[in-house]
Amino acid sequence: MIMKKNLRYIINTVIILICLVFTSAVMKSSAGSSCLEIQEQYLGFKMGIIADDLETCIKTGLNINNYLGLDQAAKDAASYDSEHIDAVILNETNKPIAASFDMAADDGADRLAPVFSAAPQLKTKPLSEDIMGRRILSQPFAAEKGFGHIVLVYDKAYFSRINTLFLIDYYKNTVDNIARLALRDVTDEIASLYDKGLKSKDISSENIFNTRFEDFELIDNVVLGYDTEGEYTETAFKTLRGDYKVSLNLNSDYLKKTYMWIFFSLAAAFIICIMVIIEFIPLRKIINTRINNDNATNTARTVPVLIRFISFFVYLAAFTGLPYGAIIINSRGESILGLPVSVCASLPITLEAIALLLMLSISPLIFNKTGIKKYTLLTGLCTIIPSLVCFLFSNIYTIIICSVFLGITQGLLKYLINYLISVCSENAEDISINYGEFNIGTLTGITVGGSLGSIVASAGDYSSVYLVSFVIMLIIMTAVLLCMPYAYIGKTDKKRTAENGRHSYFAFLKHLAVSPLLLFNMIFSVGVVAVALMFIVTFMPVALNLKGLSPMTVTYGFLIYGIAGNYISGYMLKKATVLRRKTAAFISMLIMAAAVLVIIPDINAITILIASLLTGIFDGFGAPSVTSALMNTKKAKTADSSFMLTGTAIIGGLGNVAAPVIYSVILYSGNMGINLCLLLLFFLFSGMYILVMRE
Amino acid sequence: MKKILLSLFIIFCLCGCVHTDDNAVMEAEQYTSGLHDNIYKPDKRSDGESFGVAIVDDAPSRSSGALLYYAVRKMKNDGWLNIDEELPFDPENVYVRDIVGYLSQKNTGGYVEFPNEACIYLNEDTRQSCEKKLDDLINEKKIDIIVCPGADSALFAQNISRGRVPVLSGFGSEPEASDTTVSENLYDEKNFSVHINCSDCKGQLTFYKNICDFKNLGMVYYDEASADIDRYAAAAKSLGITLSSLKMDESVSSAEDTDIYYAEYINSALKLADENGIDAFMINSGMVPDEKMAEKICSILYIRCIPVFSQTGDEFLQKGSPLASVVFSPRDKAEFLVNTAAGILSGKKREDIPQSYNAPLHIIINKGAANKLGISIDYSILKYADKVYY
Repeated sequence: MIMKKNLRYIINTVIILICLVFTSAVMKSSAGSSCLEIQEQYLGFKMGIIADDLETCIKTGLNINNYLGLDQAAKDAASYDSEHIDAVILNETNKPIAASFDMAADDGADRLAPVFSAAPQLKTKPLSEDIMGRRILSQPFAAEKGFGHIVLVYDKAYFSRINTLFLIDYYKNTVDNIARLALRDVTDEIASLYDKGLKSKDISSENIFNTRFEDFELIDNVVLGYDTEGEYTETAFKTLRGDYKVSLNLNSDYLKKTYMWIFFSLAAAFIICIMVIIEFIPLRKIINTRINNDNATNTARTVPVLIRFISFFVYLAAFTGLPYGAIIINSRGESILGLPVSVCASLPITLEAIALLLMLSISPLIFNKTGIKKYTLLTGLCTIIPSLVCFLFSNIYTIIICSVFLGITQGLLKYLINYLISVCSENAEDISINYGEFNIGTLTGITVGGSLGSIVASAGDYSSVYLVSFVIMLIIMTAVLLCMPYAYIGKTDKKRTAENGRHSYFAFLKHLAVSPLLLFNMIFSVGVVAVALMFIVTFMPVALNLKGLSPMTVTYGFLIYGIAGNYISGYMLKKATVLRRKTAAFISMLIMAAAVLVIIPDINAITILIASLLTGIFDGFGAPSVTSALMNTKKAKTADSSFMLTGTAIIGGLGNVAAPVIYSVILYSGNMGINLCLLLLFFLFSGMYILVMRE
Repeated sequence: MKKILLSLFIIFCLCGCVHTDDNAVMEAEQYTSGLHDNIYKPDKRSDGESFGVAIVDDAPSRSSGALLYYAVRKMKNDGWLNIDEELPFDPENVYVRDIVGYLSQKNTGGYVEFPNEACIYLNEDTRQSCEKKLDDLINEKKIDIIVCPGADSALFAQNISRGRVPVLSGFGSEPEASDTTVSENLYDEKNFSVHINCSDCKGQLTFYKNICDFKNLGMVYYDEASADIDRYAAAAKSLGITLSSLKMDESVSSAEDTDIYYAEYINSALKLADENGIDAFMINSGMVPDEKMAEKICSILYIRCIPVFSQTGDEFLQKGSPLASVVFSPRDKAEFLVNTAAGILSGKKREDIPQSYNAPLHIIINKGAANKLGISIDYSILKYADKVYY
């Protein structure tokens, strides 16, 4: 009894606690990744110095395979934190010839394994990659018969972990520490040159230090001389003329950029938290009803909330991990069956969509055999496994296999939601309400999932988004299994079946075959909408990654998309009642075309955010307008509503299949500008088609 | 339902099996298992006693002292010697006997010991007395290995040992100190190893050629072995450099009057310039012991814009040779010496242990001379150099 009374407070407290933990985790990870970035810059700088020295040795005829001083070079490379960094030097054939640790020790093979795994990727440029759960940084050096490599292996989490709440202070301390280390390195080098006998005039004339700092973004410049002053200054040697100093200045633009990034992460985390809280509030109502074993009327009232809740979390979970399969494959340059990397990168989403489409036909059969309880449990289990597998073994094969699996589970889930909508809707108004709740849940889920995924990806590694996805899916499964009013659904289903009979996937296909006009109408409305909706998921993250823009832009792209979809579109939908349905649908297609238009001249943070805003408006306003325009054609009206829901899911599924391929072609096949122009024309044409669509 | 759950479990397992990192783990294991053959962990004699090390040198020298200093440091790092304090010596100013005296009074951990009486200088006593001392040490099984920094001492030790105890000779690159002077037939003798740094000649020429791109290098010498002519010729050939060398007349080279000697040396160098068109010249070790003469030779050749290099020797650099490399580095040698000795004490055969090593050249540069000749020296080379003169 006490439990029931305090339920509201318990749920509120849990939600607030989760949000606080989440916000603090996001803050810590964004500050941590900034700390990691500067530490990696320093490690790269240090490796660059050692690589230069090795190249000089090799120029003097040294054979690195039989070089006695190489172990010391490896130890120097790991000297920043020799306890947590392993350094290995590889010869031209990628054979380890020296290491900062004892390679023959018991743990030698374990420590070397990531280096062997990374070896095929080591080329003539520095590499920075996560392999076998370890961070790999490499620096090539020109050797006698090709390139050797200095490779550092470490646990990224260790260097980005922050155990204090004073994040900015911690970051400042790290900056200070790195700047002092770099200054010490340069000062030691200058002092040693002087000790060797080099005169200061010959030291100051060397501008080698500033070229060395080119990739060390934290450091702006290094100045040498008797009268220099800077943010960090140390005396290298003393002469009769005075102290010869080394001054180092930090790059204030870089620091400003980092602080802004930390601030934006925090802001994004807050927005996500607010959206999550809004979505969680109705959960109380469902749980209350379930605990009180309430009457049928009250239970019926919780169904739209349940649909919204499920769709929110399903899409939140799916979109947290969904866009990153392509990025992981692209960044690793992996391929299968000799296919180009770009094609392989689009495979996960394409195969997922195909699996989804196929599953839509099989799900009813499974449902009939298992019943709703087991079906929901099965769906939950299927949903959890791919994310867990992708997190544990994220290579191209598992990503692709799991994407197929994810498609299967989404197919199962879509059927479940369609089933709930059709069974729990008394009349056309109920269908509209339930579908509206489903749309809102989906939009918010995509928004929060997309933003969350990119925050996690930017703060940690890409594969960890699958872990987050797994955790979210586990929550959904538990919540859905607990909250589903099985008895009520069972009763209503029996009643509804007795009244209307069931419509199958195949029956719909048969209907389409004899009605080509309906088929065309659906393709150029619902199909095109499905393609357009995938723009934000499949095109934007990859395009930004290709352009080297920060994942934070993706986060804000998703947030702007969601806010525009939820709020601006709502306002537009209210105002659009004065317009004809077809005109509203045409305007929405114009909005989508405008979203493409803005990114044609250049893809940058501003244009992509504008495009996200317009896509959000299109999603919130255009999708219902186009569906409504379609549903009000004579052909559609003659069909049953649940029948049309199945049809919309199938054609939408086809659009989902085509979208990744279309966007992959746009991104990778030659001139992106021309490809985007063609996409723009495609949306305009679809808009025109809807406007003149025969009823 | 059970079937479905089972299928899901199988798919999960299959997904796990597809990952490719297993290959890397296997490769790493294969690689590290091969490393164990080259690691010599501290060991004792089969009778449980510690190994005894004898050091036989021609005469007390700082270079041998430095070699032993760094060798002891490495043995300490590798666990062969357990000494709980830093060595109380300056590596640049220590003699072998000082270190052996220090070690003989310490408990060094039971793996290796340096008996005080096993430090023998050939110039301190009569040959017969030295022979007896070493023979007694071998007969009494007080020593298990003899280390000889010099060639003469190595020949001496080998004659006494006659294969009973391994003799290590060399640890240098200077021809007169190791392989050239040590009799050729000793190479095949059991328990006798000569170790050299194999990177000197080619490395030296590669380095010089990187700094100023010469095509024809001149050398004046009187003894092929001392000047290491064969190895320089091979190195020059591999780098596409013509080696123009001129042998001085024996009567001149052994002349008492140094004026005659230097006049002939300079004439020979100029002859190489005029007749062979050399565009660089190298002063070989021991050819110009007089620093003033070195300065004079440099200034004469500089008028003809011919850079002068020195095979070894700090002193030439101070007097105007722009570049020199010194191959001797006690630290590198010590590292190699300890690895070799540890291999032998661990029961490895001579042919299974590397007989040569590769170490960075120790570069000395005269930047003033380089500036005069218009040779610009890269920052990386200046950083790499051990010393810079003007």
